[in-house]
Amino acid sequence: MLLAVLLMSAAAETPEERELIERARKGDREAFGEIVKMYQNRVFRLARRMSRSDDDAWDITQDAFIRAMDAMERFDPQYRFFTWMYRIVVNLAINRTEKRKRRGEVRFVEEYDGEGSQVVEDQALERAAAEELAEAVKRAVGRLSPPLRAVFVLRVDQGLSYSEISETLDIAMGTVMSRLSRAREAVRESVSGLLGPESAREGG
Amino acid sequence: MGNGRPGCPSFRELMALMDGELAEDLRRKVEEHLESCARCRSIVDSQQRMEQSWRDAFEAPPESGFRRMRKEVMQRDGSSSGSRLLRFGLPVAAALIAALIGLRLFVPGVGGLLGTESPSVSAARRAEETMATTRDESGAAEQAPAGAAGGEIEETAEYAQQQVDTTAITSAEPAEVAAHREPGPSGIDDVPTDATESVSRTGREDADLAVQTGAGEAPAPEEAEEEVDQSFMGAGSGGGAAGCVTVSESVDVSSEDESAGLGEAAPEMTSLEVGQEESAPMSCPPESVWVSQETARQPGEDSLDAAAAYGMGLALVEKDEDAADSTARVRSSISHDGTIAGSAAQWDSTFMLHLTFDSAGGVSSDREQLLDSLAGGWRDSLQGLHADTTVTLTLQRILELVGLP
Repeated sequence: MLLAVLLMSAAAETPEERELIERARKGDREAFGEIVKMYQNRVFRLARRMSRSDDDAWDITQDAFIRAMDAMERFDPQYRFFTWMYRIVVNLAINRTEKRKRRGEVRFVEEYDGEGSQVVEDQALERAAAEELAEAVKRAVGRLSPPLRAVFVLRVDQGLSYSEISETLDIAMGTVMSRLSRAREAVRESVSGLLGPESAREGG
Repeated sequence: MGNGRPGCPSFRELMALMDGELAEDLRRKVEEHLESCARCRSIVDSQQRMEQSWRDAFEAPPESGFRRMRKEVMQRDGSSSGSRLLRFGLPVAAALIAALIGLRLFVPGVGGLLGTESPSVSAARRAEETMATTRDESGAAEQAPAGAAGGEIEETAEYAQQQVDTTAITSAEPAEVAAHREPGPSGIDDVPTDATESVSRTGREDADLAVQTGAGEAPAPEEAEEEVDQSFMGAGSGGGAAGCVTVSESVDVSSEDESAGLGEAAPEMTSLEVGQEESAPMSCPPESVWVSQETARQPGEDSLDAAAAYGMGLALVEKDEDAADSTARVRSSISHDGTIAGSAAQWDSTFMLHLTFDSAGGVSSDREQLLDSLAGGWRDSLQGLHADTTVTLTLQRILELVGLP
């Protein structure tokens, strides 16, 4: 009953990748250029999921690769490149969002929003068309606070394992799980709310 | 938390099953439960559907966008280290300045090009700032908007000042690592990923391995929640107490879990979970943290009390007084594909086992047959490692201790 999700992120680097990374670390710009091509889609996707517009996503993507290029020499190859790369992206996205938050432009589901919510078992959720659902989830994800959003996106959209998320965000496994859980509950609630008044809320 | 139904797994457990992150024993139990519980099935199904529809709805941008982005990235000549530029660029720049001064032209860009720092200087600066950035990065960020859409130059430069330094996770000299050890929630990038090695050597988790990615939320309540809420997960998770009263309760739950059906164990787990979360901030002393196995195994440190663990390689240990608010990190110590070569695929390297040491240091285990087949000679190798205690380790770790590749 478990669906196998097509994962986009590389769990293991191929020998070719490792060679490119090694060359890039030594300052080979052409090698770095190849790395950009290899990771650009995933990086953009992560940036896009973490931000609110294509423009923002392009900014973040570009900045992320620039940072990576500048820091490449100091990248320790015993670690997986994609977790390093993703961390850069997430940080850039979070900083950007934090700025907006400080300006009062956005408002989020915070992590410690009172009691843990009940899981919604919802007819409307089940009946909604895929497109409607997708749009509702997208909006719900946009309302998550950045730390929650990061874990949600890395798990659900990028398919990272809990331990990869832990490594990427440099947080404890327990934090990964609690944030993920919280994020999913919040998204579920938001989506139910967005989909319509016929949503039946499961009582406690 | 949970779904409020006795006898059903919590939402978190259902999600962990969906994510393929439940350890074997619990996975089987939850799967069995799902076979007969329509409600839980519908939760999982609807969640999957929701997530899948969101995943599918992503529209990839046109290749032209990527080309433009690559062009912007690759034409930067800041290069990867200031020192390189200084070595080779300086004479050229100096000649250029001389020429231009001769022509009475002002060259504003030169300062920017040369305004990069060497890595060691950057590291020292990072040590002084909570949310640090290197100048070359701020230089990069300032110049980035040139190619970006929208007139956000001011904004970009401003946030560049506050950006957490991601280069910190690259390989660091011990001096650099030491420089990173500042107290307070300093964001995830302040400590290099590979600093785990250094951390392990000094035998403690650093205070600034904070989980906050710049969100500014208080770490304390979060830690308390993390520390105690995973007792439900994991094969044979012997919850051991190590200074955390609520966690010790999970010992009984887990051992019952082995023999009892999920239905019996679940309400205890659910209420335990709730109870833990409620009382965690008070009962769990702030000194208790989750640390990686490597950190825990330092000579001179207190031996591990029994660990509350689940199939992901965490152990609860007592830590030094200093690291007051630290939260732990799992060091991914498994091979890239998550398995141990040569062993049956069912035993992945994050599989947790208990080792019980008697007062003479003699060791026994809950998985002796497994160890006999995968880690021959384990009794001798592990003899005397601890005494009068039970520890929970990953299979990977045990193999390392026994000296197997």
